[in-house]
Amino acid sequence: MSMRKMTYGEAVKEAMAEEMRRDPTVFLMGEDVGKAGTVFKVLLGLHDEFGDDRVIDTPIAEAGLVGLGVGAALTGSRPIVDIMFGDFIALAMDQIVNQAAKLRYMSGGQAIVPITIRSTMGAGRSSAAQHSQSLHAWLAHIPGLKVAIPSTPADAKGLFKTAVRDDNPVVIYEDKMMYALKGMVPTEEDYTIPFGQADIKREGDDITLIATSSMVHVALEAADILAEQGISAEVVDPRTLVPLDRETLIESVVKTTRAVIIDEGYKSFGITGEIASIVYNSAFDYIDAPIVRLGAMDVPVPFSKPLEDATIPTPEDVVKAVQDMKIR
Amino acid sequence: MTKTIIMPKYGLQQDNGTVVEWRVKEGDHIDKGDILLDLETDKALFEYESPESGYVRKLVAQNGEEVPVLSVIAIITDEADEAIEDLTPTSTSTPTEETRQISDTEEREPVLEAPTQRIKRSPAARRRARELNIDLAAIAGTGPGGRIVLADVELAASAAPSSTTLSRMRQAIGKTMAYSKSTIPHFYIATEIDMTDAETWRKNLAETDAIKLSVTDLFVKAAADALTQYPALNASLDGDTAVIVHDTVDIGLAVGTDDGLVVPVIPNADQAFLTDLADERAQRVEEARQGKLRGDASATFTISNLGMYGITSFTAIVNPPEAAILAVGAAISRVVPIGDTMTIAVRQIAEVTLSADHRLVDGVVAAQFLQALKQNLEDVNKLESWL
Repeated sequence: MSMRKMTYGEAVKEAMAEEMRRDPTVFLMGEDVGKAGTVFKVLLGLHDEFGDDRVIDTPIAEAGLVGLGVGAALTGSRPIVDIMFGDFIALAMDQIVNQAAKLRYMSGGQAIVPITIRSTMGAGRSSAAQHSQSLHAWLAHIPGLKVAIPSTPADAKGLFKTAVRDDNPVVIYEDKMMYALKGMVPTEEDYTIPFGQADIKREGDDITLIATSSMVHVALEAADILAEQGISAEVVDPRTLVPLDRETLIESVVKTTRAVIIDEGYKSFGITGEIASIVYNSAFDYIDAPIVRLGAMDVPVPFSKPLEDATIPTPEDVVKAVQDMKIR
Repeated sequence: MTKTIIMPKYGLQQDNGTVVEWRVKEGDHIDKGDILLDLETDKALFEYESPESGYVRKLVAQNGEEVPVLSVIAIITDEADEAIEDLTPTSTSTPTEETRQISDTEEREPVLEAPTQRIKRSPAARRRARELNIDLAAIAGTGPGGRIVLADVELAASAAPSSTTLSRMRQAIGKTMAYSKSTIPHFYIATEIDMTDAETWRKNLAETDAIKLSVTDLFVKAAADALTQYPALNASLDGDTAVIVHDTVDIGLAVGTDDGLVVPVIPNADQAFLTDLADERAQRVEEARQGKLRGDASATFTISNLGMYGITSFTAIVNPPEAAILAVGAAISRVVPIGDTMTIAVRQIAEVTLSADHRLVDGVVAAQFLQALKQNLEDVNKLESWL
């Protein structure tokens, strides 16, 4: 497989460009996606190649632009709708939850809604409380939606291409702090990653660190520190929340007998609670220590950088959680 | 409706039973036939099935508690929230020992019970301890807050075997055998039985008529028949002086399992045809091997056959409250003199040893019994008549 080193942002753009070249019904719309290449500048160049008709700047009107996307999807296009900050998805919830997620079911399968909604998550940019939340659990809660949260450039490209080709609405979250992250990415046109396949980012025997999106890198860093202490950590990345690869998560915990689950969403009522419950139910007799969940502190994300950092799980938090289990 | 679960009485000499471990907790729903608790009598440890359906409202006896037979150990109601009826006897009924025990127990027990002491252990540690048959109570936990974790169980498993405790079943066997050996004045007599003709007959049956009988089946039937001739050996001593001569001949078979010795019972063996007896024996032994044996069947006489292991002779310990036990050795080829003509032949000879309770019988009865047994097994016509 031929590979090329690129950033996470470049991988997303490449996935999008390849799909737009491959399928003329694919187009992109959103706020500042055109000449500006988004506020994160990751889509620079797309407008030059595909022009105004396929890379469309919209007004600041999330409900409207997702509604346009749902309509386009119902009538034969494969729109990619860009919601600049995940926080703004709140404005478009009715279109996503009550329209996109429901129409295939309510039309008895006569209509499909092949829309891809891409948005961002993650704190750490001092963007304050309305631009820093990780709200992916909201949508993972809704039947009828698929939710992907890639953690590496390669996963971002492969999952994005799968999202565009999927006949169902997919929400894909990119952590805005990872756009500059570099990694090797397959360059094949048809490189895709099936949904519902977790990836073991690092193999280990003593503890399973189940981590999502940018928290995968927190977990990998923690695993390095733990290795120096003689504790072998396995890092498992579910990659998609819906569908969720329960089997891989459970098998890993059965092997290691312990788990820490790390996700940047708010800790309460979120992803980590759901995964912990699944693991408890299926691996109960193999669990040797209470499962620890790490998530964003249950507070509005502070603007102050030191305070903001304190709300997000760190490698040190993961290491401490593992040490508290007194493995050896 | 309020229903009571009482400590069952299985043996004549059984005074108490132990609630080893409840399989339900208060508030649970249970169906008739579901496992209610692990129950231990002086004879056996077994799973006790609920005789009633309903909601478990009160566990009167606690885990590990030994209580008198026929006393109430749990209360069940039809509905989860119905009031528990007063179980003390009404004025119309005569107070019996049983009802007295109910009221005693109820007075003693406060409505709210103190929480039972729980061993802090991880699920993985609990599973592994069960697999390895290790008692968690004997392990020190090294996890957070003293929790027993998987590594503690593995360590205990690799440590000296003295760190584990005797299984409940071994404890029960030990208790019964110690009681027998220290209370019953045993005496032992032995004889040799020529099994050549019986073996030939048995193998012919299997080949020509596809009737499969085991050596044990022949011994069970022959012994049961001999017991009808010498009922003094088919008896029990109740207390120091009361002799109970049983009116049925129920033969117990000593069966070794991974967990320990169990004794499945073939009831009315004197009445049964050999083929039916063989079916019954196969079924009961299989149940015993699978640990499904109930404590509710008791034998009047026991046979222990170690012939299949090549053991030529041994003595067994009487299984109380029975009067005797027969130890059967292997039938092995021996050169023996035949008849009066001083000719010799190679014959299949099995040695059997009877252990008997000297309080109930003397040597003469035991000898006559063995003689009858020998005659039964050496006479193919007799065996034939039981088919």
